[in-house]
Amino acid sequence: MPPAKRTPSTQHGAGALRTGPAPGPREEDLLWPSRTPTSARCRALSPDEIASLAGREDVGLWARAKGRVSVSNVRGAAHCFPPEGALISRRRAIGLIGSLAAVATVNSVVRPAWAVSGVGWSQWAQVPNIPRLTFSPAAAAYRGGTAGGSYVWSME
Amino acid sequence: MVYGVRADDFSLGYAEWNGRQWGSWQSLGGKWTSSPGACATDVGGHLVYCRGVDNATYQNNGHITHWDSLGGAFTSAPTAVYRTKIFGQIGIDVFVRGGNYGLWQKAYQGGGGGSWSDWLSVGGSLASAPAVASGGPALLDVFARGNDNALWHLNFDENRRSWTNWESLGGVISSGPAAVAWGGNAGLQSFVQQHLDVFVQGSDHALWRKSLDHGRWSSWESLGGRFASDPAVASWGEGRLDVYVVTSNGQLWTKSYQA
Repeated sequence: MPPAKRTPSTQHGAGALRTGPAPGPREEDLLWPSRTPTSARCRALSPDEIASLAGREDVGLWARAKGRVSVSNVRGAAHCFPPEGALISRRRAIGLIGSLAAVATVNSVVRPAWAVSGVGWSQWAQVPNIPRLTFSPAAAAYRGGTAGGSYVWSME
Repeated sequence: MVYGVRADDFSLGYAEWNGRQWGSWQSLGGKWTSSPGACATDVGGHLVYCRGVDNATYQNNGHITHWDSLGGAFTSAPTAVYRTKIFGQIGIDVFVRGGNYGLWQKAYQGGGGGSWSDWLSVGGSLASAPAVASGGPALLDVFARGNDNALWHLNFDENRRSWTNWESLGGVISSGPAAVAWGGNAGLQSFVQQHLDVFVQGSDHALWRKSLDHGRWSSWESLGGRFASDPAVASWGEGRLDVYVVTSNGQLWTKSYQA
C-alpha cells in the first residue's frame, strides 16, 4: 500500500517475534465459560485419558458435576463443585483429576473436544440456523452477567 | 467482499451468541451495498454501519430499523470503534475507503450531546476495506490490504494528535482484515495498548492471524479453514476472541480463542 501522503515506515517490527507458549489460566481465574460444553461437543474421558492428564501443567479442564460425584475443597467447600461449564485453574484441575480418578466414575468429567489443552483455539464450527449470507460478517462483543459472547451481523 | 446476489437482496440481519447458545437470526432489513461494520459501546449496546445504495455510510444502534446517514460516498464497507475517554467522554471513529482509494475518517466526540466531525482524508491507497481497533482511549490502529496484497498498518495517538507512517506487516492476503484489541481494558480505561489481533484470509483462503503483544508483532499463524469473505472478530474479555467467516456457499463459521 504505497501511501499517497506518507512515506512507508522501515520499522516493520516483524523480526521481533513472540516466542514461547501462551500463558495458561491464572490461578485466580475461575472463569465462566465462553461456551458451555454441549453433548455434541463433549465426551467422557476414559480412565487412561484421566490418568494421562494428571500432573500435566498445561491443562485447563472443563468439568461438571454429574451423578453422585462429590469432590470437596475444589472451591473451598464441598458444595462448590465447579458448576457446569466452569473453567477451573490448572492447579485445581490437576487436583480434581486426581480426586476423580480415585472416587468418581469416568463420566463425571467431560471436556469439549476442542479444549484438549484448555487454552488456545477451538475447532471451526458452523453457526446454526443462519440464512445464506452474501457479505462478509461484522462482529461485536456481547457481555451479559459473568459470561460473554458476541453478536454477528451480515447480509442475507 | 460480495459474491453472487443482486444488490437489492442485501438486507441486514444479526444473531446473538450469549456464551451458551445462539439466538435466532433477526432481520434488520434495508438495502445495502457493503458488508456491515460494528462496534460495542460501554453500556452493552452496539453500533452498526453499512454503505447505502447512495454509497453513503449509515449508522444504526444494532437492533432497530432506524438508520442515520453519516454522508459521504465511499468504495468499501465501513469499520468503527468505540472508545471511552476520560471525564465521561466517548469517541466513535468510523473509517472507510474513499473514491480515491484513500482512507477516510469521521469521528464522534463528546457525551450525549457530542457531535460528528466532517469526513477527513487520512491518505494511503487501500486495496480492501479498512479495519480498526483501539487499544486505549487515545489509540487507533487501522489495518488494510495494500496494493501489494500485504497487510498494512497505521497508528494514531490522539494525545500527540499524529498518525504514524503506514507500515507493512507482510503476508500475501486475499481479503480485508479484521482487528481487535484486548487486555488492560482495551478501549476503555487503559492508556497503554496491550494486545492487538489482526485476522485475514490468506492466499490459501485459510484464516491467518498476526498479533501485537506489548509492542512486538508475532509471525503469521494459520488457523485453517477455507473461506470466501473478510473475517470478523469480537473480544468480550481479556484473551477471549470469537472470529467469524463466511464460506463460498454462504455458511457462517466461527472459531474461538481463549488465552
